[in-house]
Amino acid sequence: MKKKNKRLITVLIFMAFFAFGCTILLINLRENLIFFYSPTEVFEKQIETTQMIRVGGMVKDESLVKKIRTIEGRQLEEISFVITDFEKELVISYIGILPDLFKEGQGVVVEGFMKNVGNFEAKTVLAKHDENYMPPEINDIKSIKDNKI
Amino acid sequence: MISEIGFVFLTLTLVISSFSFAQLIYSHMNSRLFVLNHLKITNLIFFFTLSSFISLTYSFLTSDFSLNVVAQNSNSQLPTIYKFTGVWGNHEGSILLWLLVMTFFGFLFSKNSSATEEFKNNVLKIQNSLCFLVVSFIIFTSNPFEKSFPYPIEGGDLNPLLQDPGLAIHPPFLYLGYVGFSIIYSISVTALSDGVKNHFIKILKPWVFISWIFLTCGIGLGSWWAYYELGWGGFWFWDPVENASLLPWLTASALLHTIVVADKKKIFINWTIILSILTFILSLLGTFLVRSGVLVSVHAFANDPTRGVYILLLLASISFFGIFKYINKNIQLKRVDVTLISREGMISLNNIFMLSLTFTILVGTIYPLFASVLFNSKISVGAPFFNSILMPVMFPFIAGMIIGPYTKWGKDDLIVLLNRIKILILCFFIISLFVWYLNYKTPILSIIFIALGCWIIFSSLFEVFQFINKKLRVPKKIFAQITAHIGIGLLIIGATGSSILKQEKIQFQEVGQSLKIKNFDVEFLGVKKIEGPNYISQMGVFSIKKQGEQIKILRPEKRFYNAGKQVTTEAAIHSSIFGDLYIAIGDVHEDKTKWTTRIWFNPFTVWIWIGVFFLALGGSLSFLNSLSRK
Repeated sequence: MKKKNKRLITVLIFMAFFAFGCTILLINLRENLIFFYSPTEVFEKQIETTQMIRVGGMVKDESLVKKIRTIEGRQLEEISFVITDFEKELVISYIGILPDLFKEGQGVVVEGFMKNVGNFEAKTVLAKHDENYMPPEINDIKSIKDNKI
Repeated sequence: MISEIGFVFLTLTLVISSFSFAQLIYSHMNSRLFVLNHLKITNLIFFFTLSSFISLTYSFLTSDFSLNVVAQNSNSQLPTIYKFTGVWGNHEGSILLWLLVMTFFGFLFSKNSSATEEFKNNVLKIQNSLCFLVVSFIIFTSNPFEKSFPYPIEGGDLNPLLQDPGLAIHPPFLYLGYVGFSIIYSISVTALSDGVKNHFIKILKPWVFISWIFLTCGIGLGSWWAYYELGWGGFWFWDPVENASLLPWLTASALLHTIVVADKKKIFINWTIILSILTFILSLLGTFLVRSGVLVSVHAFANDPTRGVYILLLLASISFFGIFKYINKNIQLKRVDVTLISREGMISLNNIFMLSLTFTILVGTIYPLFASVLFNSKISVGAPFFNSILMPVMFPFIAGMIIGPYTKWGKDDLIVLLNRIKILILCFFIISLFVWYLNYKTPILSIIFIALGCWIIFSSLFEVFQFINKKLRVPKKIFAQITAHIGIGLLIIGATGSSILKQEKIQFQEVGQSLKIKNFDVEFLGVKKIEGPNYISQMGVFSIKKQGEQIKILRPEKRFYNAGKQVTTEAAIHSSIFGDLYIAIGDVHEDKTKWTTRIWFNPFTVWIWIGVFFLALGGSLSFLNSLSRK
């Protein structure tokens, strides 16, 4: 009987720890989710400028512009381009080296923050490893599907 | 012609392995319709698959563009080495490699095992059935011998990112690890129904070690490749595909510890079996995630959803078979209580942490999948999630790792234990102060983790010291454990350095301009145009100076591959034990005198690779040990 009690207590303690762990896990998960939007959705929804999001679409042809900016005494190249889902357009600005497979007229996913309406500051331009790969999220945007054919 | 022969061999593999599969299904209906020698089948399918693989390799080497895979993933300009590695640089070929490794493990098991003939036969029945499932997947959804009509004169290109020696050997290693777990699965499932008592642990042990070593090396090589090839200056990105390889690694590491207890104390037998089955299921899950393209991953390659469905079916049937066998198991075991402060208790604790981590990473990895199916929302889980979970878990984990090896088997006392390691604890204070003194300007988190890494290394060395002090030789088993634990310590130091302490500078750099990072002066000398075998490269030349003296010239490149019209970045790295100076070069400015350069200083990164080497070395020592004690 005593042994059985001991086992029961062990199991209960274990369960409590497990429940506690799961709660922390879920809270953490919720805080670190990054939502994906199409340019149209970005305009429809009010997105806080502090919330990190991903936006994806096609890079508009001949929209890539490179400017020189000086920050903290160093010269930097600010890249900007326009992404579109063929309904709305969003201007992306980015400081850094574009991934090797970045091309105008192709799909791209960027991660970062909204600056103001229509302007997005990318912290990362997500690279892809294969030229033929199209992120499923972009493939799912209906207006892009219609236009690609 | 050769490729037709390859396909014939593949078909033969399917036909012959189907016998094993048929008997596996029939044996559950309690009828002995036919008696088969599965050892012979194993030998046959290994040689057929090998022949098939060789003929595919031949097609790649001779650039036979009548085959779809060759036409799409290879061309005549490609250097021979990449024609060869191109065999597994695509989906079809890599799954064929997977099958080859699977049959190879069966073949090795049939040749070299202390098991009885009957046990071997039963294990190979399951192994051959697994091969049957994989070969049917190849033939029906991803046949590498598919012809293209009319066939092109010149092929496409092997993805330039894959044209690299690091990636050339990464997939075979990873597969040897992933697929090695198939034999572990087969042995464990057989043991469930055969009830061979505890003998099977001895049979299982070497396979666990060998698969773990390969998986460790495979992940290490992949990470190393990502570090220098992708030009992002990092080694781990918490990308779904990376996580997928980490999951079976974690459960296999748990298994590695448990099997030692199972072998020595004849307890945790059930648990060993569960871990074995789980590890193989997670390996398959990893394959599913990588191959189906259901997850958004920077690693994703173009792929076909029907394959995903097929792999999912495979995954489900193999999991259900394992669970079914477990429910109907034929093993009688006595219950043994384990106290926490004992070697068994510490290893249980290790398992709890390993599995918690596995569960967490699994949730983080597949949650986006559920969310897209259930709530139709497109989300991803960022690196902060994984870091915020991993970091706090590391503290008790490392504490256990330090105390564990000093506990006694059976039952130990906390006070006696602390008394035993009091000198060690004193040393920890000194180390911590020392680390803090050297790094007091850096973030507190980095100081803590570097100190913890040093603790692990020091406590492992202290074990050696204790043996020497008693004028004893360090037992081989202990030596393997010490080596692997030192590896973990080094890994923690390296990972902390190259994540928290990393410094980055990105700017336009004019030719002749010098920049300061850490204690290096990086002078940009200019850009040269270089022609490689199948690419044109713009090579930046940087002179690295330390206190005015030139120590090295670094040459990062931006390569343009002719065939596929793709660009890749080749970072240049100056490694030292204190850190890596890492340079990547970007685009030129319109005025042709300025280039975007990205310069990192990644402290202690080299210790990550040395850590992985130590882990593999420790694993190898255990492996040799488990062989010699048979």
